[in-house]
Amino acid sequence: MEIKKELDGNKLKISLVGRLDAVSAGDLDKVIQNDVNGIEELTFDFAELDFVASAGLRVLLVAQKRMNKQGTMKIYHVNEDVMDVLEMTGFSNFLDIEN
Amino acid sequence: MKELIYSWFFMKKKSIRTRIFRLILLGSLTMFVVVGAVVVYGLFTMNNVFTSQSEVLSGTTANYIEKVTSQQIADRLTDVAHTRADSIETELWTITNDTNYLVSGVENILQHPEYYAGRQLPDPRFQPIKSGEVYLHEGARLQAVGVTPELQREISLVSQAAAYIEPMARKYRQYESSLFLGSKHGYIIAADNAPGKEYIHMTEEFLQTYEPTERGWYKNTQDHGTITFHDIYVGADGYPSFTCSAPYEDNDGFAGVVAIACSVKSISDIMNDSLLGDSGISFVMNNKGNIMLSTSHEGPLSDVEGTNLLHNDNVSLSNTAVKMIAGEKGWQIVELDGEEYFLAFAPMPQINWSFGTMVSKNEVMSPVVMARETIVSQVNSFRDVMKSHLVNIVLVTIFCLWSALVLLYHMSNWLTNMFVGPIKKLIVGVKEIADGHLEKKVNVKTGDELESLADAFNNMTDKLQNYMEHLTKVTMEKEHIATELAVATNIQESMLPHIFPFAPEHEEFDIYATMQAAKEVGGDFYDFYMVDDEHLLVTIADVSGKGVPAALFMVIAKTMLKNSVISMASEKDLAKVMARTNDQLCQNNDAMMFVTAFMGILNLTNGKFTYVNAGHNPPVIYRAGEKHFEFIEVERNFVMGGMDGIDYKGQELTLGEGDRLVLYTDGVTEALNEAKELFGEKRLLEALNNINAGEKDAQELLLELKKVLNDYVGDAEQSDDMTMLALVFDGKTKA
Repeated sequence: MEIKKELDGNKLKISLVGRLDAVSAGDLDKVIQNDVNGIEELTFDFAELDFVASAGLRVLLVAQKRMNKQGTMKIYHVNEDVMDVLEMTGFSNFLDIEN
Repeated sequence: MKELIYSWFFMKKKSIRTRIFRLILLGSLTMFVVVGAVVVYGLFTMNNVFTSQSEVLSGTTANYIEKVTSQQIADRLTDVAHTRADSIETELWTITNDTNYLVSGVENILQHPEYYAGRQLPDPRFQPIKSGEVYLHEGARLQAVGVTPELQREISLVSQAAAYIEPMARKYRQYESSLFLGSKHGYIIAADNAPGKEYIHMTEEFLQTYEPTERGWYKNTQDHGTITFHDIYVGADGYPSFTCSAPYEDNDGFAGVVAIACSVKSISDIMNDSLLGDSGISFVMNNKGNIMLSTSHEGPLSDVEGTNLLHNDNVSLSNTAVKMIAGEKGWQIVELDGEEYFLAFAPMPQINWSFGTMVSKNEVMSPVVMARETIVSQVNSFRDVMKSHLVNIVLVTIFCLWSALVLLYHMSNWLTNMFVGPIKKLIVGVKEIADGHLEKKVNVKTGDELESLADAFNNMTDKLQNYMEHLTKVTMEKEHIATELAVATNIQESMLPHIFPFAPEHEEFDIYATMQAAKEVGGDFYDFYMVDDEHLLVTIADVSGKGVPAALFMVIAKTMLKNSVISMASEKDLAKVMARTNDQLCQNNDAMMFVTAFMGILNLTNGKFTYVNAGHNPPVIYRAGEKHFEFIEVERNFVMGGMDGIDYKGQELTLGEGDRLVLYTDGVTEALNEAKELFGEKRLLEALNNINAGEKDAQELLLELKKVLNDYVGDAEQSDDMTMLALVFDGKTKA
């Protein structure tokens, strides 16, 4: 999976390309651990994200919990497959998803 | 051809050694061939130049010699002619002077008789005459008529001429000669020289019949009236005889003829002396073109009487005769019998004669021809010597080249080995290293790149050795962990109910479950147990992530759930159990792990199935009446462990006889084939509907589904745990 980051002051945009599975979730976890300090507005672009595994959901949960303390987090352009997973697991109730 | 050479040198799989060897050999060979070609070309050019130049040289030299020699011969011949002409003229002139002297003597006696007394001379008729002795002879006519006293007085007077004749005769005594005077009265006074004889032999015929006034010399001289040279005749001694005569006078006019006849042996000697070569001819020609004297006795230059050169048919001869008569001196090439001759000539001006001497050109030029032949043969022999030397040089060159080639071959070998040796050593060393002898050090001390390479190899083996030690250590640690993981897997598996058939005493249901972990320890789990005699609880769950953390969290989740369920008062409290467990999981969950779970409890008496779904995949239900699978309605409750204080909504449905439930984790719907395509819910339904599930028990159902899944995945790697649980409700009637 490819992780694209665009930093604009205290805004960080993360675009994910490919599959967010158990392996790539580790990479995204590192990004969340290291690059979100001082970020007040975190946005995810899921336009090119094909799949989210449970480990990926965990990282989203971590990010959401963190951003709950320091700012806002939004997710854009979620495709149908990914949306199914988010809805099934109830994550869609807690995440700020805009298409 | 080019490809062949190229392939020979580069393309074929050859060792570096062979390539270097061939390269050195080819380079040197090329040099040798070039040098050899230059040498051969040089030698051939030299040979050609020498051959052509030697021919030119010998031709030029021979021509030059011929020219110079012929000029010299002509000049010399001219000189000889000049000298000989002078000599002959001198001889002739002496005789002429002597004749004139005798004439003046006789005339003095006749004109001054008073000064002379009479003298009596011997008569050959009556006494022998000695050689050189002056005698008187009366001619035939006088003998017949007799001598008058008056004539006797005159004879007696003229006999005093003996005083002149006698000393002069001594001058000629070495030659066959006669000095005499013939009177018009018919007597002669003479002295004969016969060298080597004491007396003069006179024939009777001569003594009786000789008449001086009838002889040619007398008549010609009388007619001529001056000093006369007579044609040459062969005298008694076999030598050509030459006569010079002059008339003398008394007071009455012509009185007789004085003559000196002399064998011209001396002139003959002179002429013979002047001959050049075997074919030479010398001759004396008078001013009318008549040959007076010649060393030849036949042909156009013979001394046969009447031979005339001026009127000769041979133009070259007659032309020369014209020049000779004109008193010229020089030389001329004349042709005689088809052969060329040098003819040199010189005048004798006192007597208006000319002397000629000739020699065959071939003969005098034979040394020139010989010289030419000698030069040519010497040049040729030199050329042959040079050729043989050239051949020797070529042979020596070939030998040297061959020796050099052999040397070169060995040197190339040696050089190549020297160059390739370290490489071979390196190869051997590297092979040993490859065989695992990492402690092996390659020892190459060439001081060049190969040594650097060897050092690099040694460095690499050092690092490899260190790495191997490190790897061994790490591997051991990993093996240790793997062992522990295997134990963990065992523990995990043993935590899941795995003894089938489960609760065979309950014929109301049949249950079967499988878990296939992607890694050694998985995050999926299932669970089922009898809560009491009438209630069966089933759970299926999936922890976020994989491996040991997921497994640990799974153990926690499973234990907490079971504990909560056991303390549950009624099946209606299942949602609360879920909420409580969620709150417990959220405590101290720093890792933010969560778990999706589906939990249901089946009342075996009435088929009522109460269930709660916490973010898990919706199970499928088989309605025996419809013989069809479909997803059951599930609430979109949030996962467990993600956030505390969540209310979970429970749901319920009723299972009829023969109905079946299949629970699964996302490892099933998200199984990937080789094209990375998800298996998906649609395929899941299709697969189950095709199984003919109504006739299958729980185990058969899952095995069929697994088979479809395995076919779908093919050789692709399993990406997630795959957990399935099947429950067949056989109905309360059998209870």
